[in-house]
Amino acid sequence: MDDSEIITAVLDGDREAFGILVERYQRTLYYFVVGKVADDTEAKDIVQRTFVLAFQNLSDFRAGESFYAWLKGIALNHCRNEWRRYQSQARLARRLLEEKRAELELASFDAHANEGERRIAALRHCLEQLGPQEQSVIEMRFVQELPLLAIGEELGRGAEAARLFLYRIRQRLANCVKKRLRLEPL
Amino acid sequence: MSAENLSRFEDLASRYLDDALTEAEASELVALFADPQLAAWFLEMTRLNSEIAGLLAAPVPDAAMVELVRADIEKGLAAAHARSDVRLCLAEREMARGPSAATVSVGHSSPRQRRPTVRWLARAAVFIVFASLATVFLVSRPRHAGTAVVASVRGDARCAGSRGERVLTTGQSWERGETLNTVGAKSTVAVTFRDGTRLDFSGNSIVVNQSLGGGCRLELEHGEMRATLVKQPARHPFTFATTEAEAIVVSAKLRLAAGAHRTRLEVTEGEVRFRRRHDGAEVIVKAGHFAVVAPNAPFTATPFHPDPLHP
Repeated sequence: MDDSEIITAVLDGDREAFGILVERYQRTLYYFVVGKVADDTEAKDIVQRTFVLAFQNLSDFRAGESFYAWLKGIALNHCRNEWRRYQSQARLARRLLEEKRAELELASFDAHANEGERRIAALRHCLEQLGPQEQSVIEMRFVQELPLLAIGEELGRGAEAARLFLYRIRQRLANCVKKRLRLEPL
Repeated sequence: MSAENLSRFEDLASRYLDDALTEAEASELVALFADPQLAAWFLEMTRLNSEIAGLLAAPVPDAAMVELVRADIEKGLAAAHARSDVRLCLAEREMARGPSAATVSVGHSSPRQRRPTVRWLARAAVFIVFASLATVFLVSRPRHAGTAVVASVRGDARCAGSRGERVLTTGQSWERGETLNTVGAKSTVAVTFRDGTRLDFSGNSIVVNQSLGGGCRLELEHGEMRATLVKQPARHPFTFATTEAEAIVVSAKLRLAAGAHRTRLEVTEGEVRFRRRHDGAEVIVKAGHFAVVAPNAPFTATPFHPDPLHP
């Protein structure tokens, strides 16, 4: 069934059919959203909220247009609102750096709005290009969530050395992603 | 940008990304954002950090996301029905009141003058009810990772919370602050969390969802549960508490039984930090081991042979 057939079925009262659209797009949407908010838990929440709002406003969806593009539009609004909320909470808590981060994110939001999945594909490729030790450190930091001291011990060095090593890996990844996006324009 | 500024910026940005930045350093980093190149590079690095974490995080299983969205949609529809019922009810009251209201004297107002006032009062009442319902709906929206969805119910199961008690059915959500109860020895309930973690309750279980911002926490007051946990963030483990003990879990398959003054934990996969609450003593219970917290029982992890009759 294509998207428009499913949408017609849902609008005709078959609510269960909406689940097919959720299964079809939830992961792609998550990868679109994940770099646009502060953490992956928030990204998962936004995906959930996007589908709920899409269901509630399905009658507004214009037939013939891309359903996924419509979902992305809803998700982008959620992300933008999330940064506004982040900014006001940071302001209340007098966390100047977090407030500034949200301000910078909001100022450049539209310029980065359509990057999501391409950046993730580039990042996936760049992660595979890392050496075994670098991959192992990324795994320790992001999957096992080990503290810097424990990562340093695994490397036979201290916490400071582990932090600097992690930063160099991030720099390499950032440069690799940039290069790949330039090589594969839209 | 000077080499000195760049070097300092890299050091501070690195500390920020690894949660090692002091308040003074945070102010120093903000000051460096006066250079737009450094500000842009900071954004690039923080985005990349979120993307790496997001890419390597366990994805939400499709079925779990479908259930969560379905539960939210059902709740939204129920709230919409409630709103329309309230509107209908108020309209009926207004109609019923119409002719007789004129006989009630309010100050010097004539019936013709009073009708708009009544209408405005009714509208205000409707607005207040709408606002309350919207608040209830928004506050209780299952955004939180600690909200579970009921995957199956056998027998009689109830859920009690601030909005009263309800009979649990498949697809409903079980939210923080709510108490789930399987009524009778043969009743069972299975719930799933957004990350795919599944819990099965049985044996007259009474369990309170005490999840807060930092991670999921359940208090098993009585009964038995089996859990298959998807890997949790190390800083936000899943905690199962009973009166006597706490099981702190990052990733494991386990069985927890709470009775009068006795808690037994069996681990079949992974490992669990098991804490005795009265003195804070801890043991690590690894796969194939069990531990018991009870008066006069030794608090150690002991190998066990799974019961073939109750796998």
